[in-house]
Amino acid sequence: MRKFREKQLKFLARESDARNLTLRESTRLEKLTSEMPDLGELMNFEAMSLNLLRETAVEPQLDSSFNARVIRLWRVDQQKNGLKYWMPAACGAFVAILALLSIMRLMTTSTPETWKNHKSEARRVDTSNLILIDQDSALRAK
Amino acid sequence: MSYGIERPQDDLVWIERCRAGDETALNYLITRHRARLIRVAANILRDAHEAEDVAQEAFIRGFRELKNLRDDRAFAGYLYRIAVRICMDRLRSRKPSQAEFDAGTSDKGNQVENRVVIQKLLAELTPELRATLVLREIEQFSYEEVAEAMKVPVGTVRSRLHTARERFRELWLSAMSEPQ
Repeated sequence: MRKFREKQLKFLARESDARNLTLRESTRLEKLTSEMPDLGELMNFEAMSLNLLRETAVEPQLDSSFNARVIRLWRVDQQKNGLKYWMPAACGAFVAILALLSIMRLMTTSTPETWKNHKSEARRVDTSNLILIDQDSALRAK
Repeated sequence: MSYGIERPQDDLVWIERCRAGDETALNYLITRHRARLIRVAANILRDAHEAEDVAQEAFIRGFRELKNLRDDRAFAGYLYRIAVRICMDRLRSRKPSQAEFDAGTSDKGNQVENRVVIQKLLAELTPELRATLVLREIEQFSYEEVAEAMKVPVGTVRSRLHTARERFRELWLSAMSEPQ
């Protein structure tokens, strides 16, 4: 029986944090608290935590330049999203692409020309009829 | 002091003007919502300076998305949702050992001690539980408003709130039973 009343007291104490209790519930809570003062005290102590949370709420000081700051940032944000902001970057990208394309074009047109030029190629030559000049024997004959 | 999300009717006119790029309207909307928004962020983060940054970011994002807003009456709720999301992201990125105490307010003695205790307890909660608890207990948002601000169903808010209160009480009892 005591356990049931303890459970009921805990339930009502917690419900009182969450909502306004009905008259019947409040009366019951008061009665149970007076019957079990030790548990009632513990419940009150627990309830203190939430009261303290409410009491220690932060009340920040308002900065007078807050509005101006937000509006300035908003202007920057608008510019970022607008065409005006992206125009220089778009122009730069266009020029870079143009330069890249022209370099690629130059490379592709010049490469076949070098392949056609056989002057620089190594070739097999028949050397059987070539007269070898032996410098030492030529000097001796003189 | 007002509680819950304020939804002034004449906001609608100003929102319309804001869409057209009217800076007077921007100024009006910022003035209307800034105090509350900074307060909400400050209580979730427990840092008044960081709260200003959050509010600033929330306003910029809110104004940027104004063109896509279907219902102008939802503007205030939308602002809070952005701010809460930013706060939760910041809480997630915080290191566990990071000191959170902000002594920027004019409290003395016992009040400061209480603040430190509460901040330590809040730091033990997950960002979701912490934000839910703060919005309901300190800012006194209704369940529906908390659900709107956190973009979760009302049932989830109820269960999170129950868990948050239980956890907060447990932490409180263990903190108080520890020798000072």
